[in-house]
Amino acid sequence: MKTNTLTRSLPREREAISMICFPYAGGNPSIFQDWGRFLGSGFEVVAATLPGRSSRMTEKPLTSWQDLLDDTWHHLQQHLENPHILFGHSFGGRAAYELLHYIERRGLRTTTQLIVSGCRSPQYCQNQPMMHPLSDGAFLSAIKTMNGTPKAVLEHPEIMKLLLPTIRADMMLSEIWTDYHNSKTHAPISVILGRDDPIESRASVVGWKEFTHAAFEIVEIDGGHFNIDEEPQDYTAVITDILEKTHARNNI
Amino acid sequence: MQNEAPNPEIEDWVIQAFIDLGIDSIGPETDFFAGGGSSLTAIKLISKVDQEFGEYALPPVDLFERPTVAQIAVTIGANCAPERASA
Repeated sequence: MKTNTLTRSLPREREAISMICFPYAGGNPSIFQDWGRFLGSGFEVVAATLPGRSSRMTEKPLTSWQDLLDDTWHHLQQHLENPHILFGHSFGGRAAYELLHYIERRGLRTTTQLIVSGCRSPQYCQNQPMMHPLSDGAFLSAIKTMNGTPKAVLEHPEIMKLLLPTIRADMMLSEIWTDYHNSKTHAPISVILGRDDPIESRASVVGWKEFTHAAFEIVEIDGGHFNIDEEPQDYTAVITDILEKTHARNNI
Repeated sequence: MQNEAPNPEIEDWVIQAFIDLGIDSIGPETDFFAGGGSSLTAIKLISKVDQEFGEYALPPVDLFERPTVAQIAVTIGANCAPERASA
């Protein structure tokens, strides 16, 4: 049987809380493989593995939000029915937010914190040109300009041919995504924004505050859109701070 | 494929390659991607295999569709020259 989640930070202590992590479009769950170690005990980092990548490489990538959420619920239900944190970067931020609504619609209030990173707010219009309808050649050129895919991968035509359908499917969901719910969630929302992010800005993320009844904050960090790959420890340090604040609030 | 039989020498070689690339929990059933392999490490593995067993011994599509140590060893065994497979 295939593994559908990467579970790290293995010594699961009694009080360990799951942090469900979604990578950027086309991203591999392996980007989170050291996070468990960086975050330390108390957290079980669970990287969501969507169809079309990693151990689910042979499955067709999903092209509807509903299918993506049903699939994620199916694979991660035991984590989602218990207290957990949701984290996602860029496309992954959208997935984490949609999952939060999905969980709350089931009457559950088990998400203790939503952390989105490098991700516009739901009501902020996509202001980059749409990439998902482009031809393969033009799509590939557009991906190159984003600087999120290692050069060796981009220059390997056969590997890119295998990866392209997944990147395109994620991009499509990312680009069409808008404020589907017009309602607030109950979990606190923290937004991480790279100061040099060429895609997102304070203007594109500030609207997130309209989407929670609970606490909201924007945390700025150094670096651009793909700093999550380049400086993972900067991320986990910021996340540790965010979670300590949430913990302190809950214990007042 | 010509030769579907497991080849312990090639399996051992693949296990060592996984270790060198930092893939977790090594055994014949270890899945390259579930163990933490990314598209970048996939390219590194393919290039290692090419150097050892000859070009195109591990086509990317086969690595993606049959990614365990045992499956990779079978793919390599079927694609490389017989004298190298038994080396």
